Formats: sequence, structure tokens, C-alpha cells
Amino acid sequence: MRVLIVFVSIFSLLSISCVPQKKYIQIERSIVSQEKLVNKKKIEVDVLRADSIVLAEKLHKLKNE
Amino acid sequence: MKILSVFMLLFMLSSCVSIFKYKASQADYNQSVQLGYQYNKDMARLKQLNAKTRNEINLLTIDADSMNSSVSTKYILRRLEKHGIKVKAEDFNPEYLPLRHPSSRDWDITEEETTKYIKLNPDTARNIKWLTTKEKDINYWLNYARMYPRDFCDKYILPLMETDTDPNYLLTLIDYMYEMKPMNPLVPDKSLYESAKCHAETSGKAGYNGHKRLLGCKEKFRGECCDYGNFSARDHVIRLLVDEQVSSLGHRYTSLGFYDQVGISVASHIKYSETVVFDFW
Repeated sequence: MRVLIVFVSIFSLLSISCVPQKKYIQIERSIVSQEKLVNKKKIEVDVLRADSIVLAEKLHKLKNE
Repeated sequence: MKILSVFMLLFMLSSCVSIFKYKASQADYNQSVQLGYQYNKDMARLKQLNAKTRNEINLLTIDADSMNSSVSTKYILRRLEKHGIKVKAEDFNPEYLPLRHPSSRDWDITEEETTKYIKLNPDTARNIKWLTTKEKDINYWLNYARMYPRDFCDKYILPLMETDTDPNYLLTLIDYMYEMKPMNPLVPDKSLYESAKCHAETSGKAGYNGHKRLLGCKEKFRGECCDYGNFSARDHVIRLLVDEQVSSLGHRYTSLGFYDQVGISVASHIKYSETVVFDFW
């Protein structure tokens, strides 16, 4: 009986403080793919920002002409 | 039993991950997703901004091109030839004139608008009591030239080629009127009429020609044209359009410009017999 109590209490403690490894691996994979996507977007934003600076300079030059 | 419990405990420990570690990973993931949204927003904003800037650049480039090439002698002669108007290049040298090509402003007029304009009545002043018949006629011919530039040109400007009118002024006007899109008819406005009337009367009595107001006349206009001499209503409009001897061509571009209202007043002039003042808004 005592063993059963110990077992149940350990089991419930574990269920509160742990998550299945499968779930953890899944979220780790999601993080990797999300980071790849974010990096891709960051590059696109940088390109657009550079374009915007070039275009603004061109416009300014044309207006001054 | 004890062994079984220990074995099960070990099994469970090996197949699970600490909740703190998991929560930290989840927070990282959420942060990454948020960053993705932020980049999406930035991308949309920058794309919009760049499209707007590109559009502005295009417009300015079109303007510059029109100013530089479309109005050069070579292009004008080529366009006139397309319309069956043959001119000897040596007889035509308008480079001293500040020419404009209508395409530099036509982006403001949509196809829908031009279709709407040509269906309107050019005789917008006929039923107005405070205008004289001649003023109404001038209003009609001015609107006619704006709304049907090609037709007006064919009927009343092309025949002037047989006269001694300066070909530089005449041919550049023909080119402009053939190229431009129909404009809106101008509607008479009382306050503009009063501004024009006061100026026509005071300058006529003083024998003055110019735009400066005399004897406390109040001015109201965004563009003003004055013509001097006793001519028919249509000839007054033709004189503004040809704008002979006026180096700025200001009357031509004002008469065919972006205005909605007009005040036209005819008065006698002690030097030139008659003066007509057009105040545009």
C-alpha cells in the first residue's frame, strides 16, 4: 500500500512538472522553421529598406532639378 | 513491486522534459512568431512607400521628358506631319518659346472624365442675367475650345495658316490642341465676374494694360488673361490661344488650364477700343 502511495505521488508530481519529450521536440522543430522564415523576412525587409533609401534620394534629386 | 515501481519511475523520467524548459521553448517560439508578424507589417509598409515613391518619380520623369523631348521641334514637326500638316523645318523654330506638352498634366484627367466633359453643354453662361451677349459668346467659344480642342483647331486655327500669323505660335498651338484631352467647361461665377468687370472698366478708362488693379478694385482669380482690341467673341478666344507676341504663352496655357470657374467682362478701352478680362478660378 505504501509503495502504491509513493508511486501515485511521484506520478502526479511528474505529470505536473514534466511534458512529454515528443511535444518538446515538436516545438523545437517549429522554432527552427520559424527562425528560418523570420530570417528570410528580415532579408526582404532589409532589401526593401535599402530600396526605399535609394528611391527617396532619387526623388529628392529629381525634385531639386 | 518495489523494483517495478523504480523501473517505471526511471522510464517516465527518461521520456519527459522539464516543464520550465518546455515553457522557455514555447516563449521563444511565440517571440519568433511575433517577430514574423512585425516583419510582415514592415514589408507591407515599405512596399507601399516604395510604390508611392516610384510613382512620383515616374511622374517627374514624364514631366522632364515632356519638357525636354516631346516639345522639341523635331517631335512637333513629326506629330504635325501625322495630322497631314507639312511644314518646312527652316520655317519653324519655336525653341525660344516655353512650350509644354499636355501629357505632362494629363495624368490628372481620367478617361471617364473626358467622356463626361464632351457630353456637357459648352454654353454655360447663356441663361445668366448679369452677363452681356458678347460675354456669353466669349464664354461659349472658350468652353468650345477647351471641350473640343481638335474640332476647334480644325475649324478656326488651321485656316490661320493662310494668314501672316507667326507659324511658331500657330503650329505649337495646333500641336498642343491636337495632343490635349478634352477639358471641363468653365462655369461663370459672380465674384470672379465682379473682379474682372472692375478691372476691365478701370483699366479701360485709364488706358492701362496689365494685371495691376487700379482705383481699389478687388482682385479674385487664380489665373487672369486680358485681351485688348475690338474683335468678335470667337476672335478674342483665338487671340488668347495663339498668344502671338507673348513670350510666356501664359494666356494659352491659362485658357486651356485646370480651372472650374470663370468671370469674363468686356469694357470699352480708351486706347484699344475694347478690353476683355478673364478671371479664372
